[in-house]
Amino acid sequence: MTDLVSPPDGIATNPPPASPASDKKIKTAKKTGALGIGGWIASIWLITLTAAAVFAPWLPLDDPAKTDFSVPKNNSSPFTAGHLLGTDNNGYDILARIVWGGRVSLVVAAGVLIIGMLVGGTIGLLAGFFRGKSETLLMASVDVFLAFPALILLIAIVAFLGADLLNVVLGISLVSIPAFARISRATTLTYAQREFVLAARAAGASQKRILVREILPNVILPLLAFGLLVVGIAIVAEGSLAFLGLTSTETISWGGMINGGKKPLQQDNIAHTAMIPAVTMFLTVLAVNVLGDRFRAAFDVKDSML
Amino acid sequence: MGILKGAVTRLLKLLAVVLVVSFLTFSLTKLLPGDPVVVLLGPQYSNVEVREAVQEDLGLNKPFLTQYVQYLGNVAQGDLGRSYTSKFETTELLKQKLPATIELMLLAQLVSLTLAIPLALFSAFRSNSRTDKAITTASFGLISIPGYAFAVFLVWLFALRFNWFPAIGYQPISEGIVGNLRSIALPLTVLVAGLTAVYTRLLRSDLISTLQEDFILMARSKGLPTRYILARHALRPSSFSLITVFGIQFGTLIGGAVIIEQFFVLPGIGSLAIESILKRDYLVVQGVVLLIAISFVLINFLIDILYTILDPRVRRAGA
Repeated sequence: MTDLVSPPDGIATNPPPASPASDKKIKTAKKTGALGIGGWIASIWLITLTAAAVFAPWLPLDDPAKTDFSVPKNNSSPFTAGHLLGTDNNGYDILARIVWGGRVSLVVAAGVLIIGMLVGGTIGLLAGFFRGKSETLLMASVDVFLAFPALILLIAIVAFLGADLLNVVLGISLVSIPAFARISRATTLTYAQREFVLAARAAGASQKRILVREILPNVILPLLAFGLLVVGIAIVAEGSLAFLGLTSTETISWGGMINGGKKPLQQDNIAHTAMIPAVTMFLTVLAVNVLGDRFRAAFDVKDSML
Repeated sequence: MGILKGAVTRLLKLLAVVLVVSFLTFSLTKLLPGDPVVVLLGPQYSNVEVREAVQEDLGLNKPFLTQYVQYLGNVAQGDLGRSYTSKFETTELLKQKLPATIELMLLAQLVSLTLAIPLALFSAFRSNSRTDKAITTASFGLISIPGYAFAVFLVWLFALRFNWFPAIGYQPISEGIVGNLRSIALPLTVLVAGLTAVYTRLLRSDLISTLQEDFILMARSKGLPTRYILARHALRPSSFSLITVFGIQFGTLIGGAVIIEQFFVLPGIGSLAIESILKRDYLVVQGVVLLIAISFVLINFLIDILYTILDPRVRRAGA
């Protein structure tokens, strides 16, 4: 679940042939629009979450770092007065922390997506286009990365460099770069053989022009589709670090909330402090994956039309 | 002959990978800030004489490459060094922590395959049926659920509401198999859920394309029973990506084990890794990573060989 290195299933490294499965998707897509019902629900959830996260400071929420022991006690259950989702064992308002934790997930998702696509995408593009030694080197380093336990590497980076959010984003990005490079290389390889590249070359286009104007536009969308998948994994990875107590305690994060709720859950029979962030995280990752899935299905259509 | 030669080249490549991993781990632990001697000595660190004596004793004052070569030499003799903090041999620590992790990982893989193969066969054979849709949707959901989030749910349901399984802890097999299985039931379920979902999705999509091949049509027109066609004709050519991913998942499982062992307080390799990273106990970190890398590489080497056994085309290409 925290595997960032191997290309996940469902990602075709070659343009997939039109299969009955994708034909079916085209049909259902026509019925309910490109997104489908699930896609719409997923979009609404993610947009709400993003909006809440972005505007958190201006929303009528409790201070996520303010303890409130006035209500019966700490660990008050959901729907108590003043605390819609209750409070945790420190007396923090859970709703406020969910929203503020969403900010962290958002930063991680955006950061990893940008860095991974820029660095990994470029490496893969160059390796797939120019081939030769750089490609061999790339594949060799991917092999090494595969044998290296990704989560342990991530833990080591964060444990040693310091646990602030920037290092977490950098660490997760670093671990995700080989996967981006692989996808980008594989896609580049298939497009570099296509007739329109040959045509551009015959028309006297420079290597740089072919790379930027002919190949890049075709590589960037499949890469983005893969990126959505990485976004889900990155959110889980940040949560894992926070869950293990390795990120800064000042950063409010869903994983950290689950970690905080672990003891009440396992020892005091109080479930909501861990369940609420766990469910939020599940729904968010699910929504990202549903959208990614729709996105990739849409590309199958595009590929088969080419 | 061809297989043997291919195996030797592959083995050499894998040796190279393990060497690079060991070097990277070694450099990482040396380059990154945080001195084990500080952790070891505490306030006594400011005493220069004591500090230098300890550094001398641990061989930390020698040049970087000398330290690495020395370390490799020791490793080759099966000596992974002594933990800085607990004074145990690293190999001893690994031996203590391995059983729980190995049990968890092997059982997880075994149970997942046992579940995924029939699910995928059914799903692919009756593709687009209601059951297929249910299986596909469920596996999509399970892929999206982070292990620790699922663990929260399982503990709430099976430990709090029903009180069927303990919420934390591990009981070794030596203290009774029933108690042992009860103690790993919930962590195992977390790992199995994710794995089964991955395997089912993969095998289903491969099976669907295999089932459209001419030789399946041929088998059907010969009047062979469906069950026989699925098991004998369709499964084998569809299983290659499953086997590849099976090998890769051992790496993913290690990551999963770190989280799950921490959540359920199991004494495994994952918790050992985290503890030793936090304590700057470099030799143990290196030992753990080396062990993981070697096992991962070996497993995938065996899988490469399995390919040649399963697929005659690979065999001929290698010869």
